[in-house]
Amino acid sequence: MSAQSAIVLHKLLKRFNDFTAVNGIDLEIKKGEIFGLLGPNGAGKSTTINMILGLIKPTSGSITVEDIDMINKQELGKAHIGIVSQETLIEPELTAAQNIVLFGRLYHVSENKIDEKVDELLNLAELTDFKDKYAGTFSGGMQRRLAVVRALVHDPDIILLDEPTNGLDVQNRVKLWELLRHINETRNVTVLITTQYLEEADNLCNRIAIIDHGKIIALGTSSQLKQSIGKGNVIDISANKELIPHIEKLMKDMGLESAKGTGNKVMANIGTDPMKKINKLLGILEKNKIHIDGISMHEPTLDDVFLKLTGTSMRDAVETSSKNDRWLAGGRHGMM
Amino acid sequence: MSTLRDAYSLYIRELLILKKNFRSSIARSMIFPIVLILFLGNLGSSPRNTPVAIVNLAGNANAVQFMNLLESGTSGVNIVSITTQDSAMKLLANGDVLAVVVIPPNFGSSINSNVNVYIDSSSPIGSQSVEAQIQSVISSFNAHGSIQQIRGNSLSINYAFGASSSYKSFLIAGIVIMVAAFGSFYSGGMTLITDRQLGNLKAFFSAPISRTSILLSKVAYSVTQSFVNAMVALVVGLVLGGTIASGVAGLPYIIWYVLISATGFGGIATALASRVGKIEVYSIIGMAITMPLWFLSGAFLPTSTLPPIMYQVSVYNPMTYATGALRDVMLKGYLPLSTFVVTSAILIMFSIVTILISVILFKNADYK
Ligand SMILES: Nc1ncnc2c1ncn2[C@@H]1O[C@H](COP(=O)(O)OP(=O)(O)O)[C@@H](O)[C@H]1O
Ligand SMILES: [Mg+2]
Repeated sequence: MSAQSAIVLHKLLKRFNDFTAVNGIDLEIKKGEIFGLLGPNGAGKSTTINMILGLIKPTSGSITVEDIDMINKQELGKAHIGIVSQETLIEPELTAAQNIVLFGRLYHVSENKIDEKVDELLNLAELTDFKDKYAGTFSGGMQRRLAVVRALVHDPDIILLDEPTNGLDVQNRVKLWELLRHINETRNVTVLITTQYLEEADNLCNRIAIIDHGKIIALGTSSQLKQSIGKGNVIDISANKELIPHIEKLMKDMGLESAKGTGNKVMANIGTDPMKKINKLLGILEKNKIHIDGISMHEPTLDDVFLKLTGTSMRDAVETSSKNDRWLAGGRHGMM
Repeated sequence: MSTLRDAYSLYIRELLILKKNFRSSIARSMIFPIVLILFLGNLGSSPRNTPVAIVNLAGNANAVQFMNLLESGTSGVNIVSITTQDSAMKLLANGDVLAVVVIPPNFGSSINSNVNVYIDSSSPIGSQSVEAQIQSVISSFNAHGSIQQIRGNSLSINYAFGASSSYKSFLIAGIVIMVAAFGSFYSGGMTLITDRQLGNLKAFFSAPISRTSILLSKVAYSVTQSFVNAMVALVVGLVLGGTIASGVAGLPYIIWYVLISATGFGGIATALASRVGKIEVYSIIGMAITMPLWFLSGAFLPTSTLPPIMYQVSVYNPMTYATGALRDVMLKGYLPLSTFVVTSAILIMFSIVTILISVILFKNADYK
């Protein structure tokens, strides 16, 4: 703990009955950084955020926000935090201005200051023309931008955003990133954002912690994380599912120690002399009469990091969950 | 102090939303009283030719004039027997008459001549209006009447029905209080649940304010919405033929009983909403609480007509006191000070207790 840290989590643990949702997290978020908590659905991101906000009592461990003990002096700490939650956190039946005024009052900002804030923040969110329009009529992107600036009404030191771009299209997502970056730079606000989008963490965050099954499994800048899985580029070999273990073994035998197979893919760090190694690999595969569907080489991504550490692709995890959502939605329609 | 300030900030939010939906809210709150008064208001019409026995202890000209007046005009009372007190009471017990009126000696000449009236409280309909009718004739003689409810067997009486404003007024008092109680369930309590579902509650819980302030804002909103609904019900009732015997002077009392009932039920509604996550479950439990309380509050029939066990329950029902007091104002035109003090004390206690319970439950409630 130091004067440099905005949030410090120490051995933070949360059990719901027998299920451990957050499993002993140690994390130090520095003042002024944009910090990303990256992980698939159910990893424990929201539970962590909600503990920081005092919405959920930790089973054990400690939380410090701006040097304030959040377990015992919650109210005091809350004043330093602005929140944008996973749910769309605007008041649909209030206007954009009323939304900001309400939260200004709840955070005990003086009335004349609130008036200034309304114009300033709506301008920041590019919503000045919608000042007196009901927030419920806004598009998804506008609602999120309003939620973000509303969280700034009391000039917090930190804003927490729990999957703020969930369900937004790419354009609006990029716009929100720009807004967050702008806020971080011009207002000296520490940003803690959770996400399951690799690109988001990659593009936006100064540092990233990858969380899975309630544990931080990797921590660092995007490039540090990518380098952590080995030097050089990554190759992906796709083939029939049954052949994957076989291919993985052959690759390991020829010296590609990092080879790891999942689904219908094997990935490995290729290291130095990539073309030479690829040719060699293709020769071996041909000799063993193994037919592959394709081979590609790319710079390492965060997904490669995740894959390497967990054995599953995060894209798969995200895709599976959204497929489930779609299936569920279909199911509900089916019943009606 | 800051709890109250935060509660006020949140209450403003509720008012803004209420204002936004005001027209539709008014329209919706008209349906319930209109339907009830149209259906039940005529179902419960007061009897014409109500059989009444007279015990004439005066035997003077005033007594004769009194009896003529009782039988004439709109009062609809039919004197079937003039006899001794004993036989009159027997007639009442057998259900041959619905009321016994005892005219005191020196009736009309002495200031303290008190007319004793015995009313068959078992009458499923109309005993209230008979009471009102007799009362009005007594008043016109500048005499006092003391009314006593006696359980007889009125089911054996056959009489014709005619519309009367007094049953409507009787019913409206019950409806106004019911709307005040119901309004709490469908405003503060209900929106506590939707706010939780929409994530608004999470935002409030994340702010540096106490949970008590959030809860108090919901109770205040309940009271506001209930007040609006109850006033709509009252106006609907008056338009459809009800009357307030005390006139405008009774209005502050009506408002007071509406507000204090809504506060108590606002406490119950928010307590329930603190612990129930699903709207459907909440609605069913809310119904299961309010409906029986309503039926046992004497909203349709005097509680004295209830079977003994239910009558006992009605004694512990706060709604009974609010309805009873409102009925005194609307039907009799006066509210004894003692009744006002006692009923107010009961309802204030009821409100304090329910809100305390609600605050405690809400302190440990989940944010989602
Ligand atoms: N109140 C709760 N009771 C039981 N299990 C919970 C509760 N809240 C969350 N969980 C579980 O904890 C895990 C982590 O949830 P969450 O923090 O919401 O994940 P994320 O936000 O990363 O998607 C999930 O498996 C979830 O089902
Ligand atoms: Mg989450």
